[in-house]
Amino acid sequence: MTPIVKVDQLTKSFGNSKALDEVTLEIDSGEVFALLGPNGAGKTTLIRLLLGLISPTSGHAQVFGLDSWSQSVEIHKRVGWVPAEPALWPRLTGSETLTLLGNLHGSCDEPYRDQLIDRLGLDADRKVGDLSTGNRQKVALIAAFMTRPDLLVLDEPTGGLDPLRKVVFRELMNEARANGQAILLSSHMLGEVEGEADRVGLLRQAKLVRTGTLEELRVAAGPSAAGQPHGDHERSLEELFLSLYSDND
Amino acid sequence: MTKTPFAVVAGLGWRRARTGAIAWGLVFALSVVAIVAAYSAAYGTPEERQQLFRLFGANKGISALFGSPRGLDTVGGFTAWRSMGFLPLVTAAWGLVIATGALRGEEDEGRRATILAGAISRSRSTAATLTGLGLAGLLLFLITAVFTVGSALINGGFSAGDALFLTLAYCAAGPPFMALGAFTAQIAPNRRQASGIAAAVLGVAYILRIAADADASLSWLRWLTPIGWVMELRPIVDPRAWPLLLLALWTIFFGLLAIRVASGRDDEAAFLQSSSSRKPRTFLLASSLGLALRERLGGLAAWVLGTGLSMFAIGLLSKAITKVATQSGGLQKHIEQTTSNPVDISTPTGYLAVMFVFVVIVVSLHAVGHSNVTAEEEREGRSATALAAPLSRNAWLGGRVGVGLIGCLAVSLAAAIGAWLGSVVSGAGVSLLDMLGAAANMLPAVLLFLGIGFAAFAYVPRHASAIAWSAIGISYLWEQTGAVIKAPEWVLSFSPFHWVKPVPAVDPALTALFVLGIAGIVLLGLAFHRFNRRDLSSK
Repeated sequence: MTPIVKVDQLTKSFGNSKALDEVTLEIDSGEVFALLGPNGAGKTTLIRLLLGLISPTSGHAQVFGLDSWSQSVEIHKRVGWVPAEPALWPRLTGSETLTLLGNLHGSCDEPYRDQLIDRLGLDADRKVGDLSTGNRQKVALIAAFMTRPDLLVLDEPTGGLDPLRKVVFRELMNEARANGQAILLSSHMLGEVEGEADRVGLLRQAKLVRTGTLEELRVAAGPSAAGQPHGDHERSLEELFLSLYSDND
Repeated sequence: MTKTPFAVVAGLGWRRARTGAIAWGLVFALSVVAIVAAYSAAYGTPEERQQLFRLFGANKGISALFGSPRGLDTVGGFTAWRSMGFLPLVTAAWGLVIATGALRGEEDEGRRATILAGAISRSRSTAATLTGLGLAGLLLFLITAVFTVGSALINGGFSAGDALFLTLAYCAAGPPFMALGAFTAQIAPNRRQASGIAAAVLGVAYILRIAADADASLSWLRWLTPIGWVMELRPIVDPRAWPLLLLALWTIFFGLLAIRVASGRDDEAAFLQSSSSRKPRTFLLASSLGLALRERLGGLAAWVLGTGLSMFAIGLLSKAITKVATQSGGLQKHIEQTTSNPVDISTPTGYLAVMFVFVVIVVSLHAVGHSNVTAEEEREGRSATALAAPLSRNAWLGGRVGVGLIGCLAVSLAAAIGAWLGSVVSGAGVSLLDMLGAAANMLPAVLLFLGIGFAAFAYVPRHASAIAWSAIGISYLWEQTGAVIKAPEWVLSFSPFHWVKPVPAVDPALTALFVLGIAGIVLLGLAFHRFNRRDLSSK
């Protein structure tokens, strides 16, 4: 299978500080890849590199076989992005924002957009500046999904959503996966990732320390460092996560 | 030692306003120094001074624009009249802008909630912010006072005490409008509207002041507003302190009202809450250029209207001032002293040509406003949202630069048409083509400042605003100071404004304009080059 995302020895430095250090990974078409790591591990930096918003210090990043920095415009035609903190135009309403972003993208499945507005319960006639964090997140989610992109890049996408809308979000992810769309999901919500991800990448201090299926990570982590009574196969991703990070610290 | 919460919040207000206070203090100081020096040089003899007083005193249009002339036959009287004509307006505008920014602006950004989560009440937080802003106002007063007193002592003509009272008079418009801004910040739903309401009050106050000075039977209108009370302080010629009491009462009333309203309302709530829902209006949302234009339409309309109306008023006065100039050689010398340009202002066209030497500063300020808004788009993360769509950086930046160019052209055109219409109404007989030529003569310098603003955005986005404002401020101060001290031509030539000659009264400096225009284009080119290669900063 041809990887949809291919990252090779990717490094990004800001001054003397390395935000990403020689990261190598691949994401296949139709795959849900979860990126996990503590704050400042480099998750958002990796996403911004893939979107061509920042340039690599060294190494390469390709999306759909295109260079993420020099060919970003072509890449964006097939990508939907939900940033961790959606930055939108406060004087536009939700509906106007979606019209604008649809126009900038060049394509929008309007019936699907209307369905998404309905399912996520967005009051699209309200100005974005008057929306809560969760509702702004809904606007960003709808904008990302409404173009039915080949790759969804979701950076902490459910931070402001209530539990009911998180259920809807999971449904949307599953539908996207069923449609063959790949998903790069960065999240602190380990439970959310556990049920959805085909593979997981663990970032720590700018390095990708583990990649694999959840099963592979469980095996790699070995017995519970916390001395849990149950075996490896029963350990949740959260326990695994804590175990891996405490092991490495 | 641990600071009290009140001191911390007051410190935040102080930090927010102090740089502006220093900058405006220096601009005020130089303006007063320039007025004193120009008057001393242009009106050397008692006869010339008497003639000036007689001619200006008899002209209602000039009284309306600058206030009733008093004691123009003395350095002090002239300095008070000229500075009181415009400095109180600037002080008032500064006061309301910093108050709405430090109160509603902080609330818009969610920082008020952070402050109120600490051990400070809503009322004390508002009072503390106003205390910090008030201290910044005091700093502005002190800086200006030092220069005004110094100028009085060096040039003679008025005492240090007179100079101090003059400074107090034109700075006295700040606190009432700061307090008013603090109040509108409590009742308006966002900073823009809070500033807009307070600015509308200032606009009405200014219009009432104009009416009061234009017609003696309407002079009572001066007692209705703080701007009128400031004028009634009559510094130097006929000083009286008791209108300060009215100004203090207004300041205390609106200050306390602001604190009272702040103490009783929810965070982010507003009495004048506009409806946040509406049916979609999708005009200009088809492209990045359209969005840039839509976001700037309101501001652009205000710039066009403000500049057009101001130049209309100046056009109306052009015939009367020309008449004064033909009878008083001093006015001619005065113009040459303050603009470093030898120009004949004995015709309305000549006078209006000189005015365009000042309009170029206004249009340049408009130009850098566009680059500053662009920098804010990136700071707030909205540029990343747009550029995550299949939109090239050239297209995104091109839209912003394009709207900047359209804006500068529109404001310049409004200035030309306004001046022409004013002159037509007053029967001055100025040609539209001449005014359009004067406007076109400004454009290369404006293009240069647009280029500086966008290049600063592309290379050092965090400091883009400071660099762009400083470029204009330094160029203006360079030209003004150079003119006052009669600096040699090669020194003056460093200011781009020096090359905006009073066209059509004199020939344009074509070679210099060509160089300015090319420099502007090169800087814009560099801005595109750099923006395509640098990282976008994150929110």
